Amino acid sequence: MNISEEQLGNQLFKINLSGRMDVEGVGTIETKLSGMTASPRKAIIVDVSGVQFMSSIGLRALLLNAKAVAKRGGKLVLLNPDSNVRSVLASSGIDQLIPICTGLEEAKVKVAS
Amino acid sequence: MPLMLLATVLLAIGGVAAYANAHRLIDVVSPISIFVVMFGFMLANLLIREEMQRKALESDLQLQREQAAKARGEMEAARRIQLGILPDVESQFLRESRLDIAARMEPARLVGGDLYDCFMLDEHRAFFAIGDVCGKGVPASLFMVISKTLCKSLALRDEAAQVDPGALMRRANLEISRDNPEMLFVTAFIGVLDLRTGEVSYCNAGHDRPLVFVPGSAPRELGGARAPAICVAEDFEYRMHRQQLTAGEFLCVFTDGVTEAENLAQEQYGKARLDSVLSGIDPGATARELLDAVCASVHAFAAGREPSDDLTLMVLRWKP
Repeated sequence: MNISEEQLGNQLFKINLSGRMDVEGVGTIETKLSGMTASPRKAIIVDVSGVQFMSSIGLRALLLNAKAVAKRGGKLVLLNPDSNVRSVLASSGIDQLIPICTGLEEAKVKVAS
Repeated sequence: MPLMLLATVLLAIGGVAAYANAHRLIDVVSPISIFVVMFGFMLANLLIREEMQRKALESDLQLQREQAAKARGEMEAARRIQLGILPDVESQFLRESRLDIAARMEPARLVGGDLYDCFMLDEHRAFFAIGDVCGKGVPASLFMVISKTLCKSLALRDEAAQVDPGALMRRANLEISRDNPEMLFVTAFIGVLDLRTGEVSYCNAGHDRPLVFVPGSAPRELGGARAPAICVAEDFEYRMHRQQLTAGEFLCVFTDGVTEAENLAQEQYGKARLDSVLSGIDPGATARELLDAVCASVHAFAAGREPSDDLTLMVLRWKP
C-alpha cells in the first residue's frame, strides 16, 4: 500500500491512499495515517480512488482516524471510492458516519461544513 | 599463538624422531615443512570451529521448533474450544420437523472471527444469528466469543414473544462497545423465525444481506435501511424489519468470506455466482445439501489460493 499527503490550503490536507487495504496493507500505513490525521489538523480529505480492495480492517483504520478527528471538532471525508469499495462502505453502514464525496470540490465543501 | 608454538614443537620432535628412527634428515626449518604443518593446524582449527557453530545452530533450531510446536498446540486447543462453542445445529434441531437447518464456519487461520448461533427461544420461535468481526486470528475470535455470549444472554433475558431484534441489537451495541479497547467492530445479522407462521423478524447491522429463495427462482435479499456494524456508532437506533417466508422457502445467511473469496487471478466469487448456485438447487434438496453445494462451489473457484477470510454459511428452510 502507498500513502502520501498534500496540503491544499490553510489547514486543509489531502491524504492519498492506494493499493489493497487488507491486513498487510493497513499494517504498512497505519502509523503514517494516524500521524497525518493527528492534531491540530481538522479538515482532512482522504482520496481512496487508488484503493483496489477494502477489508474490514481497512474500514476500522478509516473509522478510528475519522472518530479521532471528529472528537477534536474536525472532519474527515472520503473521496472517489471505486464501485467495489463504495459498496463495502455502503453495506457496512460506514458511509453514514464518514461522508463520501465524488469530486474534489464537493469534498472541499463537505470538509469545511 | 599457542598453535604456532605447538606446531613448532611438534615439527622439532618430528624431525628428531625421523632422524633417530629412520635416519632421515628433514629440514625442519624449511619454509615448506613449516607451511605444511601450519596449514594442517589451521585447517583443523577451522573444521573444529565450523563443527561447533553447526551444533549451536542445530540446537537453536531445535529450540525454535519446540516453541513453535508448543504455540501450535495452544492454537489448536483454542481452535477446538472455538469450534466447540459453535452449536451443532443439525443434531440440535433434528426433532424439529418445521425447520431444516445446516451451518458451517471455516476459519482462514487456526481460529476465526466469524461465528453463528441458533437456538429456540421457546417452542415456536427459533433465534438465529451470524457475525463477522473485523480482522482475523486470536484477537478477532476472542472478541467474537464475547459478542456471541452476550447476544445469547440478552436474547434469553426477555420473554420469547417480546424479543425484538432491533432492540436487541441496540442493547448489544451498547454492551459490546463498553469494553472494546481494541476498537474492533462486528457486523451482525440476527433474526427470529416463527415456525408456526413463517414470519422472520430481523435486524441487520452492517452485515451482508441474507438471501431468500424458492428453488428455481432468483434469490432476493432481506432488505431494510442500511445500519452500521456494532461498535461503530454507540447510540445507533437499530430497527427491526419483517419478512414473510413461503412454505419450503430457503433462507441463506453468510459472511463476506463467501462472496469475497478470491481466486489466483484476484477475482472475487461474488454475488452473481452465489445466486446461480442457490437458484440452481434441486427443489427437494436439504439445507445440508445446499450448504455443501455452496461450499464446494467456493472452494472450486478459489482453488489453489489460501483463503484470506473466514467462510461462514447458515442455511434454513421453513417446512410447515
